[in-house]
Amino acid sequence: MVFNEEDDVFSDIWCINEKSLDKEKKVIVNCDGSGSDEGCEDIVDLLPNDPFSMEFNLGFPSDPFGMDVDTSLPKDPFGMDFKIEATFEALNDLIEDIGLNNCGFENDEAYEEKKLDENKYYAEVNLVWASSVKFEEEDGEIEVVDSGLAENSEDVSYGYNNMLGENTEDLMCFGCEKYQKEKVKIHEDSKGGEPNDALFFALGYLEVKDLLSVEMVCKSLRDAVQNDPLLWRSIYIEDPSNYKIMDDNLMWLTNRAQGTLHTLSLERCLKITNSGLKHVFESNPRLTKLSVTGCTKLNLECLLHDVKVFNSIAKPGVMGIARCYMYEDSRDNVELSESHWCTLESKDCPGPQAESAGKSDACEGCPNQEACATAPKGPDPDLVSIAERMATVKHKILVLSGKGGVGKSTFSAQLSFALAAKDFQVGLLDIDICGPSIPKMLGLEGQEIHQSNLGWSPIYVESNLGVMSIGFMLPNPDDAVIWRGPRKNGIIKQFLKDVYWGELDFLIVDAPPGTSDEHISIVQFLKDTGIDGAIIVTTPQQVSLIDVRKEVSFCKKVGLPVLGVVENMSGLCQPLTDFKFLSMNENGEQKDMTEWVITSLKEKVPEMMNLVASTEVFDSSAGGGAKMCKDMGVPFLGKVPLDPQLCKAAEEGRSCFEDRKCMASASVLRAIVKKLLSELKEDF
Amino acid sequence: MAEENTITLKSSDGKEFLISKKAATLSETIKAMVEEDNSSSVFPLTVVDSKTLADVITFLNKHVDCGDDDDKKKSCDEEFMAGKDDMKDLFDLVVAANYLDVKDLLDLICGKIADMMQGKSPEWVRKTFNIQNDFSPEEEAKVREEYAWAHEGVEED
Repeated sequence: MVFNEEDDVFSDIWCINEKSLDKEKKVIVNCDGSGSDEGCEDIVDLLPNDPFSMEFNLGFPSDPFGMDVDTSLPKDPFGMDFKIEATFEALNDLIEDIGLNNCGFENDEAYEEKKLDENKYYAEVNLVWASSVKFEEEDGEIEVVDSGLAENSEDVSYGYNNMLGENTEDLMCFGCEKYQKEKVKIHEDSKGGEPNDALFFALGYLEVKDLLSVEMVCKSLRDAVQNDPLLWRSIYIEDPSNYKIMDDNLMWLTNRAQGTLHTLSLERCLKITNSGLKHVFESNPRLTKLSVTGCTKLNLECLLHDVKVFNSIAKPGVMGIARCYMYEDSRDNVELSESHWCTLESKDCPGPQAESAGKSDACEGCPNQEACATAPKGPDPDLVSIAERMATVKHKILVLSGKGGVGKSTFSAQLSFALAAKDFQVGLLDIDICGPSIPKMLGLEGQEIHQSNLGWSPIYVESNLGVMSIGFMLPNPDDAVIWRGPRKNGIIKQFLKDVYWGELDFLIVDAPPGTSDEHISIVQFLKDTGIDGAIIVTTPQQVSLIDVRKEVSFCKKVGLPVLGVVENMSGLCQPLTDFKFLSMNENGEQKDMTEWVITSLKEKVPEMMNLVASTEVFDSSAGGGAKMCKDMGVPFLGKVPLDPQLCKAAEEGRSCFEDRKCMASASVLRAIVKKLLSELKEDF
Repeated sequence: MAEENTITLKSSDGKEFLISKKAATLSETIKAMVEEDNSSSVFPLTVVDSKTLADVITFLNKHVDCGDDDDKKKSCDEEFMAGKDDMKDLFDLVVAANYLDVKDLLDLICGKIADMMQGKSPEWVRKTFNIQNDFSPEEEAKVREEYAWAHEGVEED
């Protein structure tokens, strides 16, 4: 065993396993806390748009002045201005009601008036701030501030003593009764006090990560951060929090914008999924900029679809999406293998591979402009080495299915056996990372892969049939491979790049069910070298055929020719003499009558002994695979019956063509292989 | 003529500063005052003390000199910010810039404060800005856990 990397690879697996379990725990905790949507809604309910509304609620629980705190927000990224304005109207009503207008500043000089107006608002706001801060002192002790809010409000009230004087205090009483009894005092406190209000101004300049940090500093900062949607209009998730952020964290974060989210940039957020982003779209109709650089879990097609749906209902809609595809190999080195920038408005993007990437006119304003301009040009270097490896392979065939358990691996194995029996050089590559069944199907359990200077050597069943599977790399056959997409892609790439196949006539690739990471990667990696096509395996059931249609669509979308559809398990078929015959009474007791039947047959109709009995197992009244193929316009290769002997051969890792036991299925399989070869124009 | 091109700003502690009208009107607040009343030449600014007002005026004058040249403005700003490390002064400037509505200055100082806070722990913020932690230990632990995903790489205290 010279597979040096094995230890590393598998210690990594366990790491990942533990980590992911850990994460799961955290998610659960998150759901309990206010991190959940529920928590956010609570806050929203309590405090619509304006932190000050809390105060109004407290001061005037029934909102006697009909204040509309929900007034439209001015487009000011800078929080305080909006607060001042939003509060101003409401406060003005308030002031009128308590007769502040009668305190005589009409008598002042004209030029002063304007200034005073402005100062007044300022003073009011400060007072409101101060009293709102007071409210948060739950222990009832009055704690003031060496500098900042209280000082400012005092400055202001002193400055305008002659005009606002008593009324200022009246106003304050509305905010907090405590204020009436104890006037504002300044005392030094070694523990520190409330934050200086200048700090609130600075909030607008902080990044998401720092905002969350500031939120933990004290209650007044927390409320300011949580309740000001304008701070959350642009959300950039970058290193290092990007690795941990999950869909629900993102949801919770974007909810803080209360629908005003404008720009969302996710950089290498490996856990964000399409459905997570979709939820963000749903609650943020004003989103116009979206960047999802290196979020490998996102499906571009799916995302584009969601964005189109979003744009059809939202104005102005998302203008552009930036996306880089990144792959992580098993050693966690990240390399850029494909990057993509889609402008939905114009199709002028030169593409990341182009010489003009990041420099053309269409790149202006694209969040990925710099990445495109500086990224290495040209195709993924690994594709070149894959192409070199694959140059010695004549035909590459994928075996796919929509559903699991339909017999892909059995079919792949028998197809390989059949081709090898015809003296072709055959390679069988198992890219089902999580459920490698090929080693078992070819009787190769317990074998290990060897490494030579030419690369990894496949395991040979016969001199002309080599096999490669991740199953050979597991130290214990029961070990699970718990990998996410990028790592699966990494190992598939290595299978293509590092395995020394030698001269091959056929490379059969046994894929896992579905149309996911493995499928996209294999098609992408082999695209340049040319894939002959895919064989799709199905059963006659409707449930299976539904998924086959998806599989066919996938092939059409990625430009993969469909060589044909094989209908497996198409009726139980075996010699009559292999059946058991039972007699059953009303109580359900069974009696084995086989011997009697056989002897009677032998005596009476001996020619019946040579018959093969067949019965439908799955309902194929809807037409089965043949009709589906006609509908979808793909070739139908044939029906392989459910043959117990074939199943036995597969379990034991034998070829079904060796002996005459599998006569029911072997003949059909031979016919399918023949059809296939004629399609590939291969002489035999 | 000189009368028309300069105005006097009076700080909260009664000191007077002479400033060109052009520089002064970079402040939206002063601009509004001046437009409102052409006849006066002394404008009291009752929430800005003399020390802060001096800084603000330095900034305004520099910006007027720079004109529309952004590079020059940038180097001016750097020069202006050099040595401004005292929190109290910075805060006073923020309040003044907000009151006088000088967006460039506000951006500059707030950007500086934000830079200082970047990647810092809550404890650091509390210490530096002299803020009392009014969370109970339970509340704090809960919040800490909730934000665990966001706080990787934050400097520990």
